[in-house]
Amino acid sequence: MNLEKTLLIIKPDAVKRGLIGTIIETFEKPGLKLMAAKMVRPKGDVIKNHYPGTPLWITEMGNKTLASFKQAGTDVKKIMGTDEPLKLGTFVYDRLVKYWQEGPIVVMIFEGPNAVAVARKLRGHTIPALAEPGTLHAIYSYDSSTLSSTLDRVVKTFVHASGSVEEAEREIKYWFGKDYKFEEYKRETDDLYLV
Amino acid sequence: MEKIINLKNIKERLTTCIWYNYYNNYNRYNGYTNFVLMKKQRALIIIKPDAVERGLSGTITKRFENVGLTIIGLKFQKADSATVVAHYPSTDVWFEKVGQRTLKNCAAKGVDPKVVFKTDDAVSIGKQVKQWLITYFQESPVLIMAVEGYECIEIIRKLSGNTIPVLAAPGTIRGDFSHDSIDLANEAMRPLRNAIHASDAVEDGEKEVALWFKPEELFSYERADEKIMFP
Repeated sequence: MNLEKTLLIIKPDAVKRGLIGTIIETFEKPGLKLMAAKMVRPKGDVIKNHYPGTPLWITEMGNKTLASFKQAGTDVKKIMGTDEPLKLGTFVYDRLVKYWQEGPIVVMIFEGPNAVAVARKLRGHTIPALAEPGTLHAIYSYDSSTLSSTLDRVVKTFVHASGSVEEAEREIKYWFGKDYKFEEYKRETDDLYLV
Repeated sequence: MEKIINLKNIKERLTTCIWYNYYNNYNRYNGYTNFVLMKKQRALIIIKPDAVERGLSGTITKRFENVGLTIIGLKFQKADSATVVAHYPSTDVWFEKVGQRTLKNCAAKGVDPKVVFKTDDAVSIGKQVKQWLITYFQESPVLIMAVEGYECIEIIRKLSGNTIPVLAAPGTIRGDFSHDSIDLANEAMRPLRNAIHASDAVEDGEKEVALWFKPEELFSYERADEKIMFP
């Protein structure tokens, strides 16, 4: 049985809206097992290092921003002052850190078969306005790149979910330490689907 | 936030406050921002192993958030032994009370306590029951939360329902998510599995939050809907 662990983060806007329970429930319902959780209020550096932060990664983020502006048909240069991916990425990176610092966050680890993919599916597209109906991002937000850029902030992607198994491993180690001791227990679904 | 209120002026200030509220709501804030009669309370809520194992942590947490309480601390972990031991009283008075209650239940069911507990001494029985509670608490990790709000203790008591699930009213957490009874629990020699722990007195709330959380694990923040609920 190949069980995966994935990292999920409930960001400040969702915490302030009283959505902690709703979000935990969404991942618990299919049978994913809550393995760890903590409410924290990290400093800027801690948030910054949650991301790879390499020039390549920043450029990629800049490119994603460019793409979403293009999709929305808005002039990126006019709104952001640049259309250079690396510059744009750095700009977004700073705003991202600012967003995460608006209040406490809840960092969680869930476990299950294909946990990474299952959690990503339930969370939905990163940008709420583009998220599939029924996903958390779609149900609980209308935020979009165009809206956020006119308000000088990032898109409030209020649930972070690891994007791949490797990313999950890195993020779990980052937030809980490499020696975190997970306590095993049985969910009611385990004997139905895991034996 | 809270200021000590001069009791002599309370009536006068309250009258003024109500009048301002009636006349112009904003003036009340401009002139009387320190006029706080009611202090927020803190309570400890623990989603216990039976609820965690059934995947109800989120569903139950939602109930507290829905009424507008603020979760100011949260962690999911196995309860450490020292904390659980300290969570329940260790006085002979408490052991006696728990033991007597158990003896009464045994008598009502016609069960010989000497067969079940190897003793009919209330204090010894109370100690055994505490051990059951500790074992139950540590069966799986638990979701530990500190919540804050006005009259928080009364509200979470209301939401949680009777500690004996079979007696808990529909609409309460225990009424909706469990139906364990004293008889069943005694038959199986285990504590009641009643889904959650919730502080049930104002002093307990503060004490329990301080026992389970370090100060740096608690965060104060304003909920998005707080100003709507309490203008």
